[in-house]
Amino acid sequence: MSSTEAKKMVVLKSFDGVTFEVEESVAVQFESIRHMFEDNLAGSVIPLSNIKSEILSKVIDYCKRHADDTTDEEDLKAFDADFVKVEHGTLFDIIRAANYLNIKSLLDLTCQTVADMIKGKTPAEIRELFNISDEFTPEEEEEASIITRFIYMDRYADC
Amino acid sequence: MRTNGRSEADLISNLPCSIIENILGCLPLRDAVRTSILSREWRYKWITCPELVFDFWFDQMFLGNHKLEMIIYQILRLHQGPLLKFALQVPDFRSCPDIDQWIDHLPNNNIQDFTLHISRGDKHVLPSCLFAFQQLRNLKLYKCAFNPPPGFKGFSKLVNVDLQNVELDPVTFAKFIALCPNLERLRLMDCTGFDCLEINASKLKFLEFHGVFKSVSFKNCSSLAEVKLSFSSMDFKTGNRFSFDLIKSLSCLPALEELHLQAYVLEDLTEFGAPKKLPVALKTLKTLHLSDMYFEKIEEISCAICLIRSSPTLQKLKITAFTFDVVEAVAEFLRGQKISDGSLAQLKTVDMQLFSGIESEMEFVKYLLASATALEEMAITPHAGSVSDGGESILNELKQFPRASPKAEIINSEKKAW
Repeated sequence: MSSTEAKKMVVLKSFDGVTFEVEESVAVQFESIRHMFEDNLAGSVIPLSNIKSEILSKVIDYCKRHADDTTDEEDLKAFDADFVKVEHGTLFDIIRAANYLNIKSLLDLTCQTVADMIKGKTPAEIRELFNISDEFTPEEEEEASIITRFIYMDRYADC
Repeated sequence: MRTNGRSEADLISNLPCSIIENILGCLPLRDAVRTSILSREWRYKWITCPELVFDFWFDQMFLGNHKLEMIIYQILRLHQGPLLKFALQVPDFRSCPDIDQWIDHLPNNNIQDFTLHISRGDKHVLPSCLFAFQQLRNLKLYKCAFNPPPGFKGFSKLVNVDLQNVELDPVTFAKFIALCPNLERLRLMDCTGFDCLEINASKLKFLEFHGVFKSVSFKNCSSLAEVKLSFSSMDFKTGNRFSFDLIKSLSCLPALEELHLQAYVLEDLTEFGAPKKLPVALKTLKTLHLSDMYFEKIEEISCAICLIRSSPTLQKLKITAFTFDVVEAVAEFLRGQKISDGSLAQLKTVDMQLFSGIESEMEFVKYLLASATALEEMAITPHAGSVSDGGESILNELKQFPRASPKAEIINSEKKAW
């Protein structure tokens, strides 16, 4: 694409009805809907009915930054590190959006962030962190395999 | 996915399976297996982990009076789906028949990375089923006996081989390498069982070797760009041809750009004209690192200068010194060296590590400064144990030396780091 050519724009509409006009160079990172603007649907609005505007705007920000080849690697790393410093609920919404739109680098970044939160924590801490309810019955604990028996010892140690 | 009251919602358990797998894939096996007791739903989520790495952290989780072997069997039994990586690297691990059973049970059509680290006792003789892993890209073995079966067809995707303390048969190993057409990196550290090493690998880019060989032969190594050789002993040398034959073998590598050698490996070049140029040249070499340079010994300095002169395209030189005493004769020898024979024309940077400022080292730097016409930077890292003022007086003295290159700067790398 030559620089004099007008930049092709794509319009995305969020679940709550907010529209975002983005350059095609940014939107092509949305792997799963790429075919829609490649099929010459310029000007038409692409509805993203399961992504809230607050999240879509963040995802677009991320893709804009990553589409800009003038940003150097260090800056990009700093941007990424800052980008994931959000509430847990928001982080998981971004993960779902990245998964739905199939933006691999964003999905990897956010999954790594969640993995880093889990790493080294006890099961009790992880349950608290993500509101996981522990619904084992004593019978289920009994049938534990050799592996889980050892882990259970670990678990009792947390309590 | 909206819920009433965010504080009570389970944030993670209802994510699509592929996302959970992605998250688990970022966790060490210890943490991944441990998710099985988060809740009933999480019980078996970890079993599709594409990587099973039994390492120190994994071992730590099971501290107690149980058998690690049983747990590995159990995990392999439960695991489902493609397995890309299998690594056994728990501390204090010994060879045992179970290892062959585990390898035999791995789904061999997916494994890309395989690591087996035996740390104690006898070497483990590898089972032949390992040599059927057709997708293998990375192979790391510690303390094993390496014995591809006679019908071995090769690893067509293997890129990286790292063998430490492995027993090799030279003929079988040469055949093995030739049957891995995509091999790019080869590390052989403290391996035994051979005198002569034959390497036939057209895509090999990097070779690192530590140990002993009497000779090396490179066949079709047209991509080999970086070679690091260090010898654990030089006792085996017979006659005076070892150094020369080694440099001659290296001179046949058309892509060689970076070479790391211990300076004493070169000593016998005195028989072949050192300190003058050798009859062979390292025509493409850009970076040379000579370590353990013993500034007490004329032969070593003489051979180092000889190798530098025989590397016409050298741009970067790094010397790590190894010096205790001062020997006047070495400084004398260096002062006698002719300058401006044009052989250092492309040298841009020199890095002198563990520099203690003794006369022979100073004379060596003086020689380089007076000869390298395109030099941009002479960096000195003072030896903290023998230099008291942080290298300031050494640097001041070096700055007085005549420089063949007007743009050459002399700097203290320690200071630069601050």
